[in-house]
Amino acid sequence: MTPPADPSSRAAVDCDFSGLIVAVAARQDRAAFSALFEHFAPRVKSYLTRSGAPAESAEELAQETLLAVWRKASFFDPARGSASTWIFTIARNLRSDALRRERHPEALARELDEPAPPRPADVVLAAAERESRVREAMKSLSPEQAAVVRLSFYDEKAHAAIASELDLPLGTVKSRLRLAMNRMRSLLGEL
Amino acid sequence: MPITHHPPDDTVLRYANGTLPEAPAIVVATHLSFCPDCRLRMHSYEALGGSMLDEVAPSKLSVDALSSVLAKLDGNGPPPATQTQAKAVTPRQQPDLPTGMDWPQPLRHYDIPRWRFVLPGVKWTALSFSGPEAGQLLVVHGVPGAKLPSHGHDGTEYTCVLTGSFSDSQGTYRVGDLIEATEDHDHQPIVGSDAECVCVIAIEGHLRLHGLARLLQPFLGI
Repeated sequence: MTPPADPSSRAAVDCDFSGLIVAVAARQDRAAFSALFEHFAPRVKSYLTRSGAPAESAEELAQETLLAVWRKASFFDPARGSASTWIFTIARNLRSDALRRERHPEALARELDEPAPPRPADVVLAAAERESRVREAMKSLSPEQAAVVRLSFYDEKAHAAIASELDLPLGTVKSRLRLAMNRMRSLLGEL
Repeated sequence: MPITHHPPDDTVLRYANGTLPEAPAIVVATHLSFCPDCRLRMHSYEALGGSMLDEVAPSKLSVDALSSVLAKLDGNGPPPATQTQAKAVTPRQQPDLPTGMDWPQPLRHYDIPRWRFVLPGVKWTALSFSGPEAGQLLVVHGVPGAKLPSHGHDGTEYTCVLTGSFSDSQGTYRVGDLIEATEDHDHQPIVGSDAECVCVIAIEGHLRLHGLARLLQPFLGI
């Protein structure tokens, strides 16, 4: 929950992580993989724990997520999104698999395993733009709005769980979330 | 004809963070396959997930976490992209659709049972998933002008039009449209008079059929 002081330093850091994934893809670089693991595995575990996974399976899924990063590295395209976003989608899919106790339909793997299609320059720009606008939008929300967006992102039983966690009436949570989402939408604009 | 009915933000968010149950996720994925605008919205929420990963406090891992994962990498190098892409899709059992129409991509990996006739001019097929929380999925086919069974729901109903159109008291829905009907929305959809209509529908909770169709419910596979 500690945002870096300078947004440009975060972009630089993320660039580095993208470079590490590219290195894994290009030459099975184990040092690059270790650096990715050290950074992301503990964060993926936190995300999974916050989403309701017991500590043991959160750890197991976090390790599987990073294993998948190794195996799927050649599908990562830095132009389509940040390293964090790509790793988030892998963790999310593994988590859905685990929840459904059966193979996640490949069709719903949402482009993860698909070869990257040729990209016009404007699409490439849009992805980078999207990443930075999303981060800016989160920063510009009021603390209350950012809190409901975070909680609605993490919790399975969104509204009721948020209401009890924040000790607010359900209606207040719903209207706050709606306001926050509307604000996010207008800040994200046409992407 | 442009798509005029889209899922609300909350639904796209639940799809993007993986908490939407399987049946509605298939209907939303079908809408996304038609709608570039909602795909972008979904990607924004995925980027939101990425930013959450950046800001979350790291958890402690077991001491041997990295070494045990590194050990698994031996002989498990990243496969060349070409090999993985060539992965064949297992052919599935799926009933026929109107001529010139394919099953939408999100449904191609499922076995789909044969059509069952429900009412004159209306047939459907139902998919079940492991666990009641996954919801139920129906694919409904109506001839032009057919009246679908009048019904209500205990939970939310998600519908995406694959071909043709239908109307209810609240509007007319065309190819790619996604309609979310809440618990209090009792309706009787009517297929447009110009073409047959196929929809994929997910139901959270139970469908409540009204009238004659209710008597048939035990035989309809839902």
